[in-house]
Amino acid sequence: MKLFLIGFLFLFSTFASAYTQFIGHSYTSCLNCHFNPSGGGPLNDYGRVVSATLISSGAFYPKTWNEEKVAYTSGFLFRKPKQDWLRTQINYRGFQVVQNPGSSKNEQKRWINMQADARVILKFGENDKFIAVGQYGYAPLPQNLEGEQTEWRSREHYVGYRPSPKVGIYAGLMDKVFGIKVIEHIAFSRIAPEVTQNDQTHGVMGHYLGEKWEMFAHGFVGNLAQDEDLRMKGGSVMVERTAFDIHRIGASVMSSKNNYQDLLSYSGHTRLNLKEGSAILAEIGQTNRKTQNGSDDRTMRYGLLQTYLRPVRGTYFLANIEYFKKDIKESDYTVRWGPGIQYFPIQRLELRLDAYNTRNFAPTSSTKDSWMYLLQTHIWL
Amino acid sequence: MMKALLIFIMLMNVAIANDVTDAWAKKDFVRVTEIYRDQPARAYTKKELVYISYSLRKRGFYRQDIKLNVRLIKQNYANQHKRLVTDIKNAETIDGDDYPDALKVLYWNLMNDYGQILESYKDASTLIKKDHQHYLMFSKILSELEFREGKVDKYNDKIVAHITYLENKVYKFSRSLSFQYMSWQNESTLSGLGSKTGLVVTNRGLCAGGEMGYENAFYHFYMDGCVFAGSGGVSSDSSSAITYRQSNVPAYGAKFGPGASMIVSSSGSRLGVKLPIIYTMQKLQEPQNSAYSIKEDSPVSFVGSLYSRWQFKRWYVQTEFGLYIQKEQTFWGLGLGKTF
Repeated sequence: MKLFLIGFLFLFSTFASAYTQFIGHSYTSCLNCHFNPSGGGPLNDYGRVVSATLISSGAFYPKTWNEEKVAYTSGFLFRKPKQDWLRTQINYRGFQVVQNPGSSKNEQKRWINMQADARVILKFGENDKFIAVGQYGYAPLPQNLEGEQTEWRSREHYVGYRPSPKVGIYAGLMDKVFGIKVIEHIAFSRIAPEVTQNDQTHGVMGHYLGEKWEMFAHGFVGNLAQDEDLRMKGGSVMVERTAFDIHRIGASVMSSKNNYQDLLSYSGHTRLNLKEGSAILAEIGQTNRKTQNGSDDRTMRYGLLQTYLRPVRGTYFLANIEYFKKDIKESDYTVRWGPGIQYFPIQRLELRLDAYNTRNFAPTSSTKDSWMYLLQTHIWL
Repeated sequence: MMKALLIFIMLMNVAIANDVTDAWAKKDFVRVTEIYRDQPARAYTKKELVYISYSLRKRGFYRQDIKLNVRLIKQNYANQHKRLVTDIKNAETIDGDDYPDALKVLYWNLMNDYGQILESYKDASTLIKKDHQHYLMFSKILSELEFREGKVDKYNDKIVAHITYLENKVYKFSRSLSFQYMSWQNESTLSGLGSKTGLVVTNRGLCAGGEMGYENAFYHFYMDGCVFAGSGGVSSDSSSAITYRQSNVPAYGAKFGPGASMIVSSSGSRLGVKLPIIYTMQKLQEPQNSAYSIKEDSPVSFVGSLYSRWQFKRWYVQTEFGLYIQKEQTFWGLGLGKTF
């Protein structure tokens, strides 16, 4: 039975995060395509149609299929839903990691099953006024925790109520709202403020979507599945404003603490629409960390510049340019430069290659760059 | 005798006249057009002219067909045409029912002929302007007459797209000034007393320059160059028993080479490759122990780089990431530029 379940869930996955670069297709707000207004998690019906038509390459569809037919097949298991109140989604994300490629001594390769999830969404009322979202599946544990905790868990479960299209309130286990929710969970801009793909928290989130402004306020008590002393409790606020009709600029602040550390993070960001799928995302921020015993008190500074170009439908060339200073009082810093290519050959399939070149700058040492490749497969049904 | 001659001529005329109709009946469009080519001034019937016009279009002789349609209008609808053109010029209200369908079909033929001529242009040309004006005139007439409106609009869109495409294909001279924050690494070898260790120099600096080239709406070909000044730190491999360390070693040089980009959005964002040569002047200090010496790598490096640019009207953001050819090092740069 367990093997069957594993095999079944192996087929499943979800977007770990929203694809914020789709501002390049004029989607300024994540709510256009996701049930969660801060992005990530299950796609709504419109989001599935967009992923099947605008995002995916049309090269492999039968010639007799027009866009309407493609849109029609974007539902779960290629079907148009027969009712309005239930949606199910399945998806899988895994990748091959190659560290120090080409090195006879240090090359390391391994395959990681990053996500295998099943999701259920209940929705009622006009414009999906009431929603309930649940997501359960596989998430790998760090090597030092393997065997100690289960790798099967709920990554997200929440209810939402939108009394009007402009205002919504959501409660449950969700991602924290902070900064640009880029899909790269190893990004310094996600690691430093502790908002990576496994940092969900129980809490209540308010959302406002106006003509020019979009605002989030999130109060949280930590992930209740964690031990009490580890739960990060606090709150965050994120504000974005539409600029020149197609771009976004924003700022975030978040304060959280548990028994061992106290974090204060703040950042400014922008998302620029360069048309026809081309986009620039940029974020700069700091996280001030105070530890209980003062052994690791420091302020981290990070910068992110993520660029996208779409030469043809379905294909995006990207670059992740990251800066990280683990302590602003020190001179050392790291720059990670990652060219990559993202390819959606057909709807429900994403193939991606990322190369990461990491260079350290330090006054007392100079070392060779380190390299890493990621070959990622993402399937959603 | 005279009577016999007249009968002969009449019979000949009938025979000649019948040859167009016969060829048309056999769908021999080549023959129809050849008859017209050999005897353009002959007194064809209205029906024959319609056959000839169709055959000319079928064979792609659009300019000849234009002449023929104009002739038909002048012969049969001169007054209506004159009145219609005057009304359009004076912005009078036009009732399409006042004009015969046959005249509207002639306008339709003329619009399509000019459209076909425009579509046959593979490159932008000064001749296009005149043909386009004529096309627009007949398109306007048909719109005013509310004749086959949907088809006219659809064809207008197609012609606009084609003319835009031709204009976009034209290469224009382009130039810009830019600067880049860049970082690159050099390697040297420290050797002496029977042992040696690698030295890695990590540099950073600013590179100021620009590019000149030609671009159209799809591609950009250029020569690009900049001069840079910066500094770097160097240290021996941590695994080595030899210790060598130096910081803020000045570095100067130049980077130049050809590049080609594909323009991927209407904003002018582009993705391309460059093949720059990087010349670096950087002198590491010799070790105090004279038993050791430094062998520096060649100051000239050949690089293959991936280049991206995001255009904000005249200003742009650029990134470049390159791998040294036949060396292990990489180069990257991030900068701003302005086109002129």
